[in-house]
Amino acid sequence: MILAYLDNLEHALRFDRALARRVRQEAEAHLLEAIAVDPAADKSEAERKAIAGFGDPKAIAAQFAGLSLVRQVRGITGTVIVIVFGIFVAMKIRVEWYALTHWTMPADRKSIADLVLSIDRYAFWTSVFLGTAVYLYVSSRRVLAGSPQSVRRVYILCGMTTGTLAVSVGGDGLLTALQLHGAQLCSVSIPPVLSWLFEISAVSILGLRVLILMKRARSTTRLFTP
Amino acid sequence: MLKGHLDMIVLAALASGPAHGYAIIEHIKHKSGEAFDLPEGTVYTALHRLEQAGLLSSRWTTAPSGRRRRVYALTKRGERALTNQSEIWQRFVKAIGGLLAGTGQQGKPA
Repeated sequence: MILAYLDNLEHALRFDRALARRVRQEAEAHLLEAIAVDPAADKSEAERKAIAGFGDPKAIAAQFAGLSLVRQVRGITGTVIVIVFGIFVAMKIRVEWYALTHWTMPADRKSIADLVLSIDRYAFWTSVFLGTAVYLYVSSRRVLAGSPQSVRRVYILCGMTTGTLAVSVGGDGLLTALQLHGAQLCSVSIPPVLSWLFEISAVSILGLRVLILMKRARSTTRLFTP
Repeated sequence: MLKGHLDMIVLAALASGPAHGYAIIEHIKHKSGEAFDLPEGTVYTALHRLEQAGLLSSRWTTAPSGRRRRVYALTKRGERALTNQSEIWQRFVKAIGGLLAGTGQQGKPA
């Protein structure tokens, strides 16, 4: 009886596997404790009472849903900050490398490079602004007050941050291609290429995390009762 | 009424020292004279929420019986929050007491 109840509870909490495991372990410890101290001679009656006292698995899952969403939102906020900062560092490393190796943009590509650079800069600083907005919104504890709408605002802001970062990283790719085009590929070309590959990976990870959050938020919101 | 005060009740139950979920629930039942007989799963949600808010910390321990339990304890922030909520509650009780004084309702069962 206990095992079936714990399975139901874990299944109801399947929107957050780590949480489901922990709650299952805690519920198991609680139920065993309750059964052990129950004076009833009939073990199955003691089990039934303990389960009834703990509550309906679906109702418990609904209470945990809001908490899980808040944790996921906080997690993605940290990822946004780390990735925006990481991309900024990668850009700086590339620029410093060009300066160190006296590698200038060929004159025939300068005008297009300037245009791409200005788009790149606007996109990057817009993503910094949006990332800061996500951070401030989540730290203002408005999400803690908990509503599916506030979570929706967070993932829309995260999606916009990812979009503008993707434009910036695309611009960086174009600038790197313009810089490397026609040049002989050698060890000097490795740092710019690697830093751009890092940027692509970072923005892809962020995009993936935002998609996972959106998917989880949708399934969790169905259970969420503020 | 209980829903809005569950966090304070749980924090108060931990004021005397760290305890696991079952002991916290028993403490609440005992100290409230069985007045608060809430669904036990609800208390675990409150424990997780308070931990997420940094008011509680928790760790797994092994009981003498060999059973694993998660033990919760108040953090410094939790202690401050409890003091703060207790003061608010005392002011509330005093205010309501003042309102009821002279109405003939004070002390009468609801």
